[in-house]
Amino acid sequence: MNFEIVCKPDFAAVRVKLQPGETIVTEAGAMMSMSTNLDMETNMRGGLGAALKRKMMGGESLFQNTYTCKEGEGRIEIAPSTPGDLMHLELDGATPVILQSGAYVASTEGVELDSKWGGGKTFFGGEGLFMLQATGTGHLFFGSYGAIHEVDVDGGYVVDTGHIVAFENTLDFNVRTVGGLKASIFSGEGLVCEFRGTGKLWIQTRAGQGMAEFLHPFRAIEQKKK
Amino acid sequence: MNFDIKYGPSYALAIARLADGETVVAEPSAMVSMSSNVQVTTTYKSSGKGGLLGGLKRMLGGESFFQNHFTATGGPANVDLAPKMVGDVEVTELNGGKLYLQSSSYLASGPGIELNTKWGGAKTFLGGEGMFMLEVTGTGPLAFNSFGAIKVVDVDGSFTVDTGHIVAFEEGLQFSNKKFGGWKTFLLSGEGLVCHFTGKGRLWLQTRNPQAFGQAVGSMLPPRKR
Repeated sequence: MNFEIVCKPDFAAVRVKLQPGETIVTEAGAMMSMSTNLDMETNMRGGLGAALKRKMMGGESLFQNTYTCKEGEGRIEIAPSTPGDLMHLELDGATPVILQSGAYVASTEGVELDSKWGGGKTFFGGEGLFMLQATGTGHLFFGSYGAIHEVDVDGGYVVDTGHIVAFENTLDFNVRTVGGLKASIFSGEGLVCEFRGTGKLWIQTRAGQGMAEFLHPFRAIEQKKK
Repeated sequence: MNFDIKYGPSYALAIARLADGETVVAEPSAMVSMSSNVQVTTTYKSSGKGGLLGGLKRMLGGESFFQNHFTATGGPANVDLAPKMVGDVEVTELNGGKLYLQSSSYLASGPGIELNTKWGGAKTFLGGEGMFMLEVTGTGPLAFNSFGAIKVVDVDGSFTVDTGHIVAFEEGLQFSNKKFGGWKTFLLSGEGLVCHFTGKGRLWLQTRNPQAFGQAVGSMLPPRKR
């Protein structure tokens, strides 16, 4: 398998080439186009129990699609749902990565996604942010709304919860308010996540919440039924 | 303190680099992430002056009542700031001069920058598509954002701009609002009000009109409760 990320950073997508017998797993709905020599199978990876847990806890789709090349060279183009960048990581089995659940785009077979991750409890209280843990070895692709800003944390770093995309689980974190009581009420910053330790952190430079807030006043006002 | 702009023009991020003890002032909810040695205070003041009245006046300008002050403590620090909307961020240095800024374009500034809505020319704009302008004075860097890309025009003579596309302009420019063409053109051309600039100075334009975008998408969203 080889891949190329195209149209970076504004509207990134990934083009994957598969040899016979090779597979790639994608989030439901992420396939943009593909050659006709691929077999597609939709399944609840890890069985119904694990899939339901991912759906309920991780906010991620119940289903994932597995594309397998039958013969010759196969190709597939995969795109995230939001305008923005796409990031590739190669997991080495040593350092799991925690993903904001909507960020997951695709992975190769050796990568396991798990919402049973213990740290999730801390996030569930905070702005309904759900996280998935990606473990194992293989390629992992995730997307952002806006550009992806990579930070090498050594010590501490604070991120608005709406802007977290992913982080290496060598980082410890706690969710808190920004500043004192007055700041937490009036600053408009909501909850932040403070990361501690050494590891990589990926941040998106825009948040869906901001766009939603801008568009809200443009919605029509519901008419009362007579 | 200086601003470093990355990921422009689509998803620009303004990284404020602070030396120990330095402060950057920002619009509420602009903070994406920051070093953990940054102290946040929320005030309704503009750089220590203005007080409650100054805050109220800024609110009239369509801008937030509150501002967040980020101060580096015990060493240098970064504060990463981004606007809500997709688009670019531009930095300009003020040296006692004056700049007029469309209020929703304000992102962040050094502590020596003053924001004021008492500016007489605002009245002229109040008629025009609900656009409010801020008068920016003082010394230091000012970071402002656009919806879409930013286009710089050095006006010498005269120039006409749709009011929805104005981001900022220098004090050397005088302006008058007028309807576009005759009555038929005004009503049917879809151009609404335009701003006619004369004189000499720099003008910053945005390549998309937020109102037009809001209307285009807002009509597709389900109605909101009254």
